[in-house]
Amino acid sequence: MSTHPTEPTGPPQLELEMLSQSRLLAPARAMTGTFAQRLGFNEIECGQISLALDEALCNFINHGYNKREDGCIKISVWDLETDPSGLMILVEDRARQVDPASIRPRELDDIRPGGLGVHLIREIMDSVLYEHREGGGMRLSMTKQISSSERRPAHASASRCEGRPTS
Amino acid sequence: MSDTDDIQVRQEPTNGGMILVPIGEIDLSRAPSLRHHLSTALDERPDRLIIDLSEVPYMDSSGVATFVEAMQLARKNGAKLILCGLQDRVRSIFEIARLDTVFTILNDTEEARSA
Amino acid sequence: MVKRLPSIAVLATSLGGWSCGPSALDGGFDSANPAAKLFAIEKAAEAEDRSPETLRRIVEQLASDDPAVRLIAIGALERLTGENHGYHHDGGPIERRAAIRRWVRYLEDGVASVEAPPGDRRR
Repeated sequence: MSTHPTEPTGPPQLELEMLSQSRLLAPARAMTGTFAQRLGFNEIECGQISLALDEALCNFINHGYNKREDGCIKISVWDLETDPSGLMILVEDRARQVDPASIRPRELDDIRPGGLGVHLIREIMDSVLYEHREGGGMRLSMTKQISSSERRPAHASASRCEGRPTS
Repeated sequence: MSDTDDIQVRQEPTNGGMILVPIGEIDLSRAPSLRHHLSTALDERPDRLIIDLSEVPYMDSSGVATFVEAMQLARKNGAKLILCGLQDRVRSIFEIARLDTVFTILNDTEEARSA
Repeated sequence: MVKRLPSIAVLATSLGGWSCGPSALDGGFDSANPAAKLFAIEKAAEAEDRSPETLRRIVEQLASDDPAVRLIAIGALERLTGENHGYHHDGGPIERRAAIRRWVRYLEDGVASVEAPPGDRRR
C-alpha cells in the first residue's frame, strides 16, 4: 500500500468545516458517500469510504481534541480524475501534534474495545498518510480508486451509498 | 446541547433471556446510549442476550467496541451473548476487525433462540 | 428561496482562519454554518421526514452556494422521494436553477402524496 497518495490539482470539489462533535459524523458520512456514488463507486465501496472518514473523524475527536466539542475539523474531498476514478479525502485539525509514525494499527489478536480505527482506515483505503499540518494540528490524506474501470451512471437515484436505511 | 444521541432499542423477552433490537446507525454519537442499554440488560443477569442487528444499517468501530465491552461483561456474568441479523455492511466491519469468529453471530433471531 | 445570511465562513476564511462557527447543531436549515445545514438535512432524511415543509426546506438548499450543501440536499431528496429531476449539484447555475424550478413544481403538484420510493426496504 502506498503511503504517498496522489496529490490532486486544483481546489477540492467539496469542503466542510465542522466542530469536533460526534453528531456531525452522520452528515459528514453522507456527504462523502454521496460524492463517492457520484464518481461511480459501488454501494459497498461507498459504505467503506464513509466508514474510513468516520473512523478518521472519531480519532480526531477522541484523540486530537480529547473529546472537546469546540475543536475545528476540516474535510476536503477531491475527484482525482484518474482512470479508474478515484477520490482523495483530506482531514485536518488544529489540535495537538503527534509523531505520525506513532499512529499505527494495534494488534487485532488482543480482543479489547477500541483502537480499531487506524486498522479499518488502512484496510479500506488504497493509501493513507498522516502528517503534521503546517501551522499546527494534524492532517490525514487518504485515497481510493474504483475497483472497476466501468463507472456507474451518475446520479443513480435513491442510492444506498451512505449506509443509511431507505424507507 | 449534549453531543450524544439516544438510540432507540426495542426489547422483547425470549427463552432464558431477552432480545434487544437497536434501530438505526450506531456511531460515536450513539455508542454511549447503546452501551447503557446493553449494560442494563446484562445487569439483569439473563442466561442469554440476543442482539438483533437487522435494523442497523451502519456501525463504526465505536459500535463494535460497545459490543466487545458487552461480550466481556456477559462472560463475567455468565450470560451468552449472541449477535444476529447482521447486514452486509455491518458484518464486514466485524470481519475486517477479525471479530467475526470471536462473537457468536447467527443469521436471525430464530437461529439465535435455538442456539 | 434561500435566505442569504451574512457569510461568516467567507469572512473567517479571508482572515486566514477556519470558520467552524458556533455549535454546528444550532440553526438548522437557516444556519449560516454549512455543517449545521448538513446536520438538519441528514436528520430529516434519517427520520424519513417527507412533510411538505421539510421537503420545501431541503429543496431551498439546492440553491446553496456551498456544493457540499447542494450535494447532501439532492442526496436526501433522492432518498426521500426517489426523484432527481435532473439536478446535478456540480452543474452550471443555469441548469441548476432549471432543475430547482422542476423540483418546486413537483412539490406544488403533489407534496402531500410523496411516499417512499418503490422497492425501498430498510436494508
